[in-house]
Amino acid sequence: MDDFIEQLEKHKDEFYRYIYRTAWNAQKADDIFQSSVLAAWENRHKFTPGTNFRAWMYRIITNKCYVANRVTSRTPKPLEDVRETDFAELNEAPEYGDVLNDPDRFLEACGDEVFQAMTELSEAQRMCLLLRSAEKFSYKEIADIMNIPLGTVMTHLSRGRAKLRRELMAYAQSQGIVRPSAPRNITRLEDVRQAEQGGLHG
Amino acid sequence: MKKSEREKQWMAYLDGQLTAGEAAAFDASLSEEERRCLVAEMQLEEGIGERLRDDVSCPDALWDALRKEMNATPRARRWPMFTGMAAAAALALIAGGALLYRSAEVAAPLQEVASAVPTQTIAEDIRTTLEMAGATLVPAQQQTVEEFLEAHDIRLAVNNEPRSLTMSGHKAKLLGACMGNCPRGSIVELLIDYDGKPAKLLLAKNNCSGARIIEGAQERGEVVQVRHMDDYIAGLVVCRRIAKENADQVAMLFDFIRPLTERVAAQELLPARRDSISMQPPGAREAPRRLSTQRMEKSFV
Repeated sequence: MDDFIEQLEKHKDEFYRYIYRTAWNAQKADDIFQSSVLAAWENRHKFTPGTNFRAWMYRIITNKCYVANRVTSRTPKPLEDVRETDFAELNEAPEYGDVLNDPDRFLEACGDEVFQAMTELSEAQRMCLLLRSAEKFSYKEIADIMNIPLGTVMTHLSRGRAKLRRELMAYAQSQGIVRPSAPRNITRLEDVRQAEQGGLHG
Repeated sequence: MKKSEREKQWMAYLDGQLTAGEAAAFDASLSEEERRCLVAEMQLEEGIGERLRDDVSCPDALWDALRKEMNATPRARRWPMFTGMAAAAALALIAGGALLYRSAEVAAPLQEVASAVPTQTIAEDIRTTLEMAGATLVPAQQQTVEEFLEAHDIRLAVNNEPRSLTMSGHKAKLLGACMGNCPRGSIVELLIDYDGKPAKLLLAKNNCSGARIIEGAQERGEVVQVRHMDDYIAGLVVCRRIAKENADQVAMLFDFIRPLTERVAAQELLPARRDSISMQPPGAREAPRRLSTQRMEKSFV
């Protein structure tokens, strides 16, 4: 019994973080966390010691998140959300070259906009992205946790990443961090700055 | 190679999900420019992952409360109860319990209404209710609860301090509202603290599946009393002991709700408070504004 609570305690912050980043509301996150922990506690006899405790917990948590968001997930999405972009399409956008030239600087300039951009993703895309990028689960583990086919995980990841990057890029463009339509021959941010100082675009 | 296939490989490579052989083959197929992009993508992905990992942690108070609950009360499983009930239902069916099959809709699954029967403490009751329904408790303010009801197609007025109850010497307090755990029907629950014991009012529209579930529950004795108001049905659920001792008194719990028309009529008799109410006669009353469920979610959580 104590082992089980110890395991929970060890990972409680990452569980809570995943719920919070999925639900995006502290009150709701508290409710889902509480309900998940108690459901796990109630079903602890079903957990096989020695197997992956994190993945087992994430399965419970993900189900609880789905249930908690079931009302909103039924709500039809606005039309602009229906069209999805693939990762490959994004790589073809010339202005994305600015981003890839200095990813750290780009992220630093975007600041908390990353969290805002995450809210624009669908629930499934957000979960896949969090499980992969933040929690480092394999595709197979994510498929098991979310109870979806592996191919679907890859689709969610691809589209989620593309959408996240597009949102960040739009923000960066609005802030002048990335040029709205960078000319193909000027791809490095440094070059853009030098070009500006030299009056080429001024 | 198809574009989508290439993209999948690209992403799997980025995530380190290819086998050593696949990774080597893919790596060999990359141009210099593609390799540069891939390295930058990895860097970007790592940066995003780091951002998503920081800053948020479980509130200490929440964890302490949960830990205390887990340590103090190893929770009893509900399965034995359900298994027993299911076995009883199966026996009834085998014995030709045609009653249960009179109407497939009236014979709600046992689980549906069993979740509505209050358990021992108010906290436990609310927690179980919310957990099973995956719902959030809407706070007990009159306007908030009315808006919540309205968003679920129930247009009834809420009175969170009924005079009848105050005068009866019993203490009753509205604790909030939430959706009931009835997959086949829409039922809204008002949770009430009645003399320190949990009670509920189940509300549904007449002639809908939710109403049939409530009626079925009444036949089985899980709902102790039913009352019809306007186009709605209200079912009262209280602990069995309370229901036995105070059959008449508990009926006053229905006073937590009343038809909208009654409220308007009552308000018309109170000129001093007319500023806070609709000035239109009941018949001309403006149809209540319908809120989208999504908006309700936002405003209540």
